[in-house]
Amino acid sequence: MTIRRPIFRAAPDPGEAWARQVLTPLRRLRADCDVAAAVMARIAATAAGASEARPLSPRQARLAWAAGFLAGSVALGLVTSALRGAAGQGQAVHEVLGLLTSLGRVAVLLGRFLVSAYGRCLEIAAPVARAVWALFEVLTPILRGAGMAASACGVLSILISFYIFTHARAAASAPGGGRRS
Amino acid sequence: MASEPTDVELIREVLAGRVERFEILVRRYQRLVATAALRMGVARQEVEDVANEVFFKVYRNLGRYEPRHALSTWLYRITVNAALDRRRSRRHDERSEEIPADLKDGRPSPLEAAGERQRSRLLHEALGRVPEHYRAPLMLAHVEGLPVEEVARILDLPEGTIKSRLFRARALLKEIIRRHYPALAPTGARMEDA
Repeated sequence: MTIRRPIFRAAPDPGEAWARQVLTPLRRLRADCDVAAAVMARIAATAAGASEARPLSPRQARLAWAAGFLAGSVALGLVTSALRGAAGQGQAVHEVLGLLTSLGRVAVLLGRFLVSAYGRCLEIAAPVARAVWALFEVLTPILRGAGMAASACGVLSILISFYIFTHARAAASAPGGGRRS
Repeated sequence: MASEPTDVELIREVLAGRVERFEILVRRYQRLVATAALRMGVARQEVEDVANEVFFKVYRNLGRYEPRHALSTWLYRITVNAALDRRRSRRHDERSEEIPADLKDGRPSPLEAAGERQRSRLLHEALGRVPEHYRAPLMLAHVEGLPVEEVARILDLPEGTIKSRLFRARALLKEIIRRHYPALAPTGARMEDA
C-alpha cells in the first residue's frame, strides 16, 4: 500500500526578516503608467452606449407611438393638400377623405368591440378565478390530509403483506407442508 | 490657495455627476495600482490593462465605497483580485513558455549570472507555487510593506487569520526556494542548507 505524503512538511517560520530579504527584488520593482485618459474615454464610451442602448419605458413608448401617429397624420394632410393643388379640384380629396372617414369608423367600431369583449371576458373570468382560488384554499388542507392518510394506508398495507408473507413461509416450512392433518 | 481635494470629496463630486473629477483620482493612484499589479506578478506589458480594469471597476462601484477606510485599501483589494485573475488565466502559458527547462526539474541554473530582473521573474515563479490565499497576504505584508491590520482590511479577513497565513506562507516559500530555486535563498541560508 502506498502512502501519499504531503508535498511539503510543516516547516518552521523563517521569520519576517528572511521574507523581507528574499522579496527585496520585488520591492524594488516600480511601474509607471498613465491610464487616466484611457479610463475616462472608457467611462465616456460606456455612458454613451448605456444611453443609446437603454430600453424605453412604457410611458416613453406610448409617447413615441402618439408622436409617430401625429407625424403620419400631418404627412397625410400635406400629401392631400398637394394632391388637391395638383388636381385643381376637390374630387380626389373628397374620395380620400371619404375613405379615411370610413376607415376611421371601422377602427372605432373595432376598438369598441375589442373593449367590450375584453370587459365581458373579464366579467366572466374574474368570478370563476375567484371561485377557483377559494376552492383551492379550501381543498389544500383536505388534500394534504388525504395524502397523509394515503401514505399511512400504504405503509399499513406493506406491514400487513409482510406479516402475511412471513406467516405463510413459516407455515410452509413446517413438517407436512403446512397442511393440517 | 485652495488645497487639494480629498479622496472622499472627489468621490462625492463624481457621484453627484461630475464624472470628469474621477480623472484626478486615477492620476493620484495609477502608480500605486500599476506597481502593486507588477509586484503581484502581472507581466509588465499587461500592467496598463490591469490598471485600466481596476479603475473602471472602481468607477462602476463607486457608490459602494465606505469612507471609513482609505481609498488605497479598496484599490489594493481590487488590484490583488485583478492580478490573481490575470495570473490564473496566464498560468498555463507561463508554465509552458516562460520557465526554462532547467528549472522545471529543479536542477541548478545559471542564476549567478542573472540580473535583478531575472531574479524577480524567478521569485514570481516561486511565489506562483504558493497557494493564492497565502500568497496575497505575503505580498501585501512583505512586498507592499503594509501592516497586518491593513492587510486584514484589504483581504477582509481577521488579523489572526492573516498572521497564521503569513507564518505558513513564509514557511512554504522557504521550502519551495530550498527545493526548486536554491539560488534565490539568502546567502547565509544557502550556506546553512548546504
